[in-house]
Amino acid sequence: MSAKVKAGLVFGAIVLFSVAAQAGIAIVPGSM
Amino acid sequence: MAFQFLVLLTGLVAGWSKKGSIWSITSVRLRILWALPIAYTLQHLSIVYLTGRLYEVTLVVSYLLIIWFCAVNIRVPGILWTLGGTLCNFMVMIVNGLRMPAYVPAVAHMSPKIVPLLMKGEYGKSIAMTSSSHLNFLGDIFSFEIQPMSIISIGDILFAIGLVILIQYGMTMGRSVSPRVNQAAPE
Repeated sequence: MSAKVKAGLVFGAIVLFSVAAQAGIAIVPGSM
Repeated sequence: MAFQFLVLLTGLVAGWSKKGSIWSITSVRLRILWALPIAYTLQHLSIVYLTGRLYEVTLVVSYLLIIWFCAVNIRVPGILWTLGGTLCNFMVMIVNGLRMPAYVPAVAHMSPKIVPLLMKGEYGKSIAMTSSSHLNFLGDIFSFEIQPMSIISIGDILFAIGLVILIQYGMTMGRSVSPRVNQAAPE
C-alpha cells in the first residue's frame, strides 16, 4: 500500500472518529 | 458539519504552520484503527434507523468502541482530550436514557421548525433540555453560528481540542522520525 493511500486511510479514520464522537451529538438541522 | 470541518481545518493549518505534512500522519502509531469506521457505522445506524432496545445497544457499542480506541492510544498526544470529550458526551446521554438534552432556545435560534419535534419527544438522539433532564451543562448548549449551524456540547469542544492536537502532532511527527527507524518499527 502506498504511503499516500495509507495516509488517506488514516486521515479518513480520524474524520470518522470525529463524526462518530461529535456529529451524532451536535444537532444539525435536517441531519435526521 | 461546519464545526467538524473547522476543527479538521484548524488541525491541518496548525500542522502546516509547523512545517508538517499530511502524508506524515501515518507516523502516528494508532492501534485498533479499524474500530473507528465500525463505531461510525453503528452510530449512524442507531440514530437514523433504529429505535428502542436496538438503538440503545448499537449506540452503547459505538461509544464503547470509541472509548476503547482512546484507551489503547491514550499516550498519543490529543487522545486524552478526545477521551474526555467522548466520556462527557456518553455520560450525559447515559443519565438521560441515551438521549442528548438540547437547550431549546439555542435550537429555536438555529432552526425553529425543529423545536416542536424536540418538544414532542425526540429528534434523532436529542431531547429537549428541561429541569428534569440531568447534567444539562454537558448537553448541547452552545450555538455554533457558522453555516450550516449546529449546537454543540462541552464534550464536543474537548474532543475538538484533542483532534486539533492529534492532527498537528501527526503531521509534524514524521520530521523527527528517520525513514529507516520508521520502517524498522513494529506495527
